[in-house]
Amino acid sequence: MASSTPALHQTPDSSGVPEWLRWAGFRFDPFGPLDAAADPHLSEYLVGHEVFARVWGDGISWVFAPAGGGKTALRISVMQTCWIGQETNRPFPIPYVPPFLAWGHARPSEEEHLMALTRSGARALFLAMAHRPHWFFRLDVSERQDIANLFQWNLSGPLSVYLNLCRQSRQISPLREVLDPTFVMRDPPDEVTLQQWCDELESALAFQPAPPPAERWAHLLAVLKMLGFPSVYILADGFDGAPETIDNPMMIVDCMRPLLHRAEKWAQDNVFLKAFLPTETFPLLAEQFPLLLSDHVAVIHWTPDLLAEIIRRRVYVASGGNFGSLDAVASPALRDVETALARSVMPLPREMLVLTRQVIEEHVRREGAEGLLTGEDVEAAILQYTQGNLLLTRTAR
Amino acid sequence: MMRKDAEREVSVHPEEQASLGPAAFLALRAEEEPWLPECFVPPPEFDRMSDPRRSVIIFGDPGSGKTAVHRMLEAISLGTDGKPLRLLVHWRPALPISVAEAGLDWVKAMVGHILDACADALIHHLACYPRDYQGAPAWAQARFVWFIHRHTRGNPALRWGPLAEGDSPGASLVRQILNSPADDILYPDAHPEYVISELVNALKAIDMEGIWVLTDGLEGWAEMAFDRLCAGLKAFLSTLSLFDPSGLVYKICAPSELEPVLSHAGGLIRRRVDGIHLCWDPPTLRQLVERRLSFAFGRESFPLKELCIDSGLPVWLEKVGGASPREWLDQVTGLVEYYTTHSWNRPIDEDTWKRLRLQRPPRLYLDDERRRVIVGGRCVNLEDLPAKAYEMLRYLYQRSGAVVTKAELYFRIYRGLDRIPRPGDKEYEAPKEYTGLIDTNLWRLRQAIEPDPSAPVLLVTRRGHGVVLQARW
Amino acid sequence: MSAVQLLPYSPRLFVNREQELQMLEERVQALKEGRDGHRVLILSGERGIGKTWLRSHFEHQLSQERIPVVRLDLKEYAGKDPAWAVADILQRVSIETGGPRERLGADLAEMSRTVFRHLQKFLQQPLVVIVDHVYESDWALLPLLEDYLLGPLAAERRVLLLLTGRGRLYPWKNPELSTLAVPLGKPELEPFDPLFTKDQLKRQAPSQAHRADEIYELTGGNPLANYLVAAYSLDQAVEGLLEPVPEERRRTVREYLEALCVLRAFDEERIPDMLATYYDNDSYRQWTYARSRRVREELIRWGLARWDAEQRGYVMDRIVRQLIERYLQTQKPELWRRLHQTAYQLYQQWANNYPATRERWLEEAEYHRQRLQEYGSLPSRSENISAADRRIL
Repeated sequence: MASSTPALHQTPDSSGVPEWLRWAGFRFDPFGPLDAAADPHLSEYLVGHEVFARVWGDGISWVFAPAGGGKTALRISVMQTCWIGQETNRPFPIPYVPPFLAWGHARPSEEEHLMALTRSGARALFLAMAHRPHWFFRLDVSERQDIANLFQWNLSGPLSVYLNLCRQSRQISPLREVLDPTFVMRDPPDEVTLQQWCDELESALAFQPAPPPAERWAHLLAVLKMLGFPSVYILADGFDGAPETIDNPMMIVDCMRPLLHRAEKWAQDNVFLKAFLPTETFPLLAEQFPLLLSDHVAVIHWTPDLLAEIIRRRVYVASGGNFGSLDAVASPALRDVETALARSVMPLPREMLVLTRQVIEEHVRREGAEGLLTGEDVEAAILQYTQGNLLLTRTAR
Repeated sequence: MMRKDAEREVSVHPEEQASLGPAAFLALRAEEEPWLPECFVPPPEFDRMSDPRRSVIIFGDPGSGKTAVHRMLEAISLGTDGKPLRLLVHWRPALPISVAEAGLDWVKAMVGHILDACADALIHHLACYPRDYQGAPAWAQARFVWFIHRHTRGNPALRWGPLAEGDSPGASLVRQILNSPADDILYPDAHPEYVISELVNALKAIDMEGIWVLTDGLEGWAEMAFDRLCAGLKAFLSTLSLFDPSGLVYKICAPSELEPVLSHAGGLIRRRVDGIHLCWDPPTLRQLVERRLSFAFGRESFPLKELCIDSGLPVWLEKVGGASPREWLDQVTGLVEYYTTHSWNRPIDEDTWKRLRLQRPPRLYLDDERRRVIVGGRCVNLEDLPAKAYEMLRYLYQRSGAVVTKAELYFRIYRGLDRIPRPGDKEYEAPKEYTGLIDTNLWRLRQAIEPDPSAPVLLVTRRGHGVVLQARW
Repeated sequence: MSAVQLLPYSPRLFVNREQELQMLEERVQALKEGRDGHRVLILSGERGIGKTWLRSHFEHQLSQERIPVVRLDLKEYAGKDPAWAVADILQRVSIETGGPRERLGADLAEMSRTVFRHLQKFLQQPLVVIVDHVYESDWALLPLLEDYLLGPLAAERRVLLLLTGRGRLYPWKNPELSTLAVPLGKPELEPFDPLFTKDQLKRQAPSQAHRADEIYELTGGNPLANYLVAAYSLDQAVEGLLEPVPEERRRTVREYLEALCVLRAFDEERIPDMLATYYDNDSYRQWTYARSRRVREELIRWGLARWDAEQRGYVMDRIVRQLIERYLQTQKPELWRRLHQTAYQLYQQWANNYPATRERWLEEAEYHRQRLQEYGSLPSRSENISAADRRIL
């Protein structure tokens, strides 16, 4: 399952915060959904980010950031951007989070990687196609068969299981739930079209035995080409998601090695590796794979200015462009709220969001769901945050 | 909202309340208090602990109420009709064979255990609520059958045979499930994350909100194999895909000794899992005591001043009980017993309370290894205590409940003798030579350990005889 | 007061903008040759800076080169249902690119698919799509427009997209529309220098060309303002600048602008005091935050104000503020003085009440003091900034 940064503090909201946000002129809560995948505005917050420009485009690219430093958010944003529109004229994204738990180890072979990549790709294509059945309807018989086989071989269960789920529930959301809850695509088809797609896809199935992993990967790439995707992006993330790799950059490099050996060859075929990795792996990779890292490298270093900018950007989007700072809803006694907050948190975007929300919670607790933010709100929030995060700050030190 | 759920449980039939009386203060162990939900007061941050979408590890000292929280997490998972709102799965990790073994392979094995525990919880749920299954869409039914067959360790028919033959409303359904062929919903090599998603999705079809995996009772293992337990849990909490949003969340109660190590686990650092230290503030603890009093005596409310007239009681409770609910309740227990047997409906006066305090002093435990003493819910560091005073305490502790003379303390501790010399012996010294020294050190000890050094309840003088350390643990 | 007539575009009257035109020409050339590069260009800038004229001139050049252009003006869709608006836009694009005239589909997704299916044939040749008044548009319309038209268009290699507008930049999801889009200007279209101002006046208002330096001093080179000031009275010139505001709201909006124009930045906290002075009515001081916000929102809606990160407050469109303040200063000097005086007192009060931000408010107070001093209207002695506060500054 494509791992993502999960939700934080998505408590049932009886805090009064939504009411205050409404009062202050926000269209939605820009500090609430800390789960990158669940945030419908993620792309709007991120696209202005200069790092995005480095990642986007045909080429191998690298994003290095500290743990919790926004790699997954960026990866999801790239993925969502790939899915804009109705056609196959954008890159096809394969979200690739190594399935450590299924492997039971963190030293995968090339074959294991290819298998996992193929499965991820097949899942993404299956979900995308369920949203865009017209990609399938315009294919000829043998092309349809290729696609049906791809799904039959590479989904986690038989194709018919998923199609039945879709048919019986008459909607796509259960498919998304079981295959990839982070998958976002607009405009699902109506019930009749979905039904038709299920039926025609199932009837295209030829029940052939699954070929070996390398062939299955090649088959996936051929299918994507046949559908008209100009390129494929392998969005590799979550390599630090295992006990063996979480604090061990060398182990991450070892885990990635089989992919890295293939990356250049893939690039010639318009398949581009885009890796989102912990900062600590940068020097190791730069030393061992200097050519691969010669271009398109972005190292995210969260300074207080950048952290403050995160909040300003969110405020701008959520206020419908009306204002670009919490200063607009703060008393004259308080200016440059974002910088004050940015200097008080662990230098990670998620922490910044937690603290900002805390400011509003403090305000609501003290003065109710109206009124301008005050210096006392900020001070109380910082105190609360520091106390509440002793566990984490101790670790961070 | 969760807090409201917790509070909803407080409503209880008056007759039932009235019957409990002082028994409500006897066990002071959540596992032996079936009525706990009815008088539970949520600790600070209970909202975060019970967030339905967040995995959380709750660290707490002994007596801090971890098990009570654990039980409340169960209680709020039941609807008003007592039917579970989510699948509650009880799981306790096995220990890795060694610290070195605590890696992905071990975590994978643990996930196998968790899936088995899920199968267990699922089939028991269906045995109790067969209509859930009967009313479920076909695709969800197929998933239940598949999950029970594929993820029960051992032979499902043997394992669930007793359930199938029992008298639960769904016994025949259990038989039907065990006898049904299981369709292949997922291939055998499907990733565990997808297996969980399939189950959660099917649970949603019967209006269940997903799965809570509840873990408690790790104290024994922490004591027995601290390093292995830490290594295992750290590996578990560092396997990030376990904490992806999938509808399955973990609620783990763990002793606070694990906190320094587990706070380094990747899942906590990355906020995939919330780490919460269970701590109570005095107003909440007072509320907790008063809530239990009102529950025990079947009253709408029962302020402390109606139990004991002395305004010093709350201060005493705060001083003795510290942040431990168990110790707050413990200090009230003697008063409740007396209130029931001797002064029904009349608040206890100050003198009586002070006498009762002496009869039931705070519990005391000397942690010689860390040179500290735990008095009630307080932990007192004795690093600054002079060495001889500390040795005196240790000596008294080893003879808790027995009267020790000042001469004994002097000659044993200060002079290092193995007996008390008599007048005329070479080592003999007259009491006036050492009484002042011993009194000074006793004064120091009282300052350190007594909740109220002016009215000692732990280190008590038996005039003309000596002193006695009233250690109760 | 006679109605102000804005000068319609004419290639004969057009001056300056060589760099921008060269850049546009270069992109068109790349499109013709199938070369890669930035295919989304953004044309933004203050009111009257010449966006419309530059866009018209570009269109004029494209017509001479026979390159098809689709131009959409989002102003036409103001206040309309966003889904209906996008459907209508898709219909127009379909018609103008040789697609079906009706029955594009049952919903926007299907309509979009139909348009792009037919567009593929049309795109044997380059296509330029110009979208006007983008940033003034409702943020309920833009996401739909992005999803069903602009996003997919931006991914087409033979389409050049020119987005023009003023005000709040919209946070597009598509990188082609945001990060990878290139501004025409630095980053906005800049005012004319004195030479181009003179050149402009020679063509557009020859009888006033001799006043070019004086006009430039007042307008800072904003071409619309150059023309209006040359051709009309200052009062009328202001009216001309407010032309985008619907007539029924123009008078009130102008009053708000006059009340606030002396401030370098404003917000809901400052609006009541300034309006109270402007209308000489203390009841404005009782205005709630929500009431003040409606004023601020209206100014933003017409693109006459925006949030400014540096000022940490809302700022008025530069040229609008400049002309209105000059109007007040020359036509209603007493009101102008009282407004500055109010601002000065307000900031003094804030500096006293809010120690954490004292320095900032003192700086603002000092600005107003200096403005009053420049025009010989110093605040009364008791209102002067103390010597100690001067030291802070």
